[in-house]
Amino acid sequence: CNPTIRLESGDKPLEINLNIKHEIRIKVEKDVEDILSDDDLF
Amino acid sequence: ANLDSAKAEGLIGEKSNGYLGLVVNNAPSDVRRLVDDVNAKRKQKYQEVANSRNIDLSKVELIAGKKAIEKTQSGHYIEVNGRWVKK
Amino acid sequence: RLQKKPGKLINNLTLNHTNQLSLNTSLNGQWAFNTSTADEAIQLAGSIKSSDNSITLSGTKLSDIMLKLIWQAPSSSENNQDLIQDNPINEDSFSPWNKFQLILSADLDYQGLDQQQHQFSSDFWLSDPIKIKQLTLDSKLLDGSLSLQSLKQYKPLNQVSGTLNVNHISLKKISRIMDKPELAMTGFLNGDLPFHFKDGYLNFEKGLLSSENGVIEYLPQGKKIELTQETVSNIANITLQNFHYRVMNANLISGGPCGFDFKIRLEGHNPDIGKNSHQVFNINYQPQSNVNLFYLLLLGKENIKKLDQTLLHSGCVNNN
Repeated sequence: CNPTIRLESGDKPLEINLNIKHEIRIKVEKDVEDILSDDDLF
Repeated sequence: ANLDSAKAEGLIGEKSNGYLGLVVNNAPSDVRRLVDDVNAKRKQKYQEVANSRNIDLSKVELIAGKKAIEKTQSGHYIEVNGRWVKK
Repeated sequence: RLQKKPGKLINNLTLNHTNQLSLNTSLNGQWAFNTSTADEAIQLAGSIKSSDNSITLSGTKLSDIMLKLIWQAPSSSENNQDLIQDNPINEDSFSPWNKFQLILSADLDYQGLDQQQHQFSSDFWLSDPIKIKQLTLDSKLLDGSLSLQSLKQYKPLNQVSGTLNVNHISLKKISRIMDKPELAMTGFLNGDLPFHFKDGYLNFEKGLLSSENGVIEYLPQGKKIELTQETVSNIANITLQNFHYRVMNANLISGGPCGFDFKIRLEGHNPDIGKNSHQVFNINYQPQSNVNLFYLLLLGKENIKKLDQTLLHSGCVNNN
């Protein structure tokens, strides 16, 4: 089995750097545009 | 008949609910069939977008209607407040 | 002194721009004209007040709106001070209509999740360009408040700047509004957000928001992952599963209509992985959007889709 690890850091804290991009895209417009750019439908 | 010629002749136009509509009531039967056929295909596509975005079909239709009217070239018909108007 | 009798000006004004904006209001008010000497400008005092009405912007309803426009008969000192400071000889400053104070207050049921009260006021000078001063905002929302007092002197709209003070804003409510079920936060934000206008858009720079002694639970898989030999590479996510922070500092490097650049520092520990362990996060959080974030914030994800194209993407062309 996998023993769970305990993190008992001494004086120095564990420093973690993270980059979070987070794209906020409101998509409906694009999907609808695609439908309406089909010559058989528009 | 095809979409562009039917629109150019002012037989059909874009409605605010995202579907095609007959501008004249004596439109030839092939134009009527075309409108029914295109509307059915559009509805199916709108439903797919509604499902993937988990929003109501009516919302997608509303946005499509706005888009279609925006995209309509001048001289073709669009439905404004329930009446057909040449853009 | 010519006195105009107070009375109903316009009984009911219904403005229906498109399906996105509808405003119905009743306006009433009164004026007193004061023309004591021939050469002196007409001095005007009075107000238009409208209440018990509503504004619906693309589905988001503001209710109990109180809109008030007030013309003060300028006291001789205040008037001259403006004249001298801006432009002594200018016919604008003599017409009575072009200087007034606008007060707008409204209650907002924000997406059914937060009852808010907003009060905005500003002095307007309808010169060319339009100038404003004494800009104030006082908003009660998210268990806390936003406030602003800015602009002692008249400034053209595109040079408006100030500092928004943030007080006791609940992170728990923010996470509910963000509707990201995998992320739950607690704690209260306080701080200052300096802002300025750049080509017509609100921009923030060098702001700082901080919170103390809260908890962040980030569970992307909806359940906790055990820290084992295999999962240790995922230490960041594991630590954030139940992170008790002592200090959270969110430095807002810059922010505009379509994106923000935050440098967030968290100090604390995750009790599940070590009683007296101590972890520090340096998070570079840069949300980017293809739609105007202020409209998204005001209207929410559903209603913003009804906004027309130009407004929806205003300021965000490059992110499209």
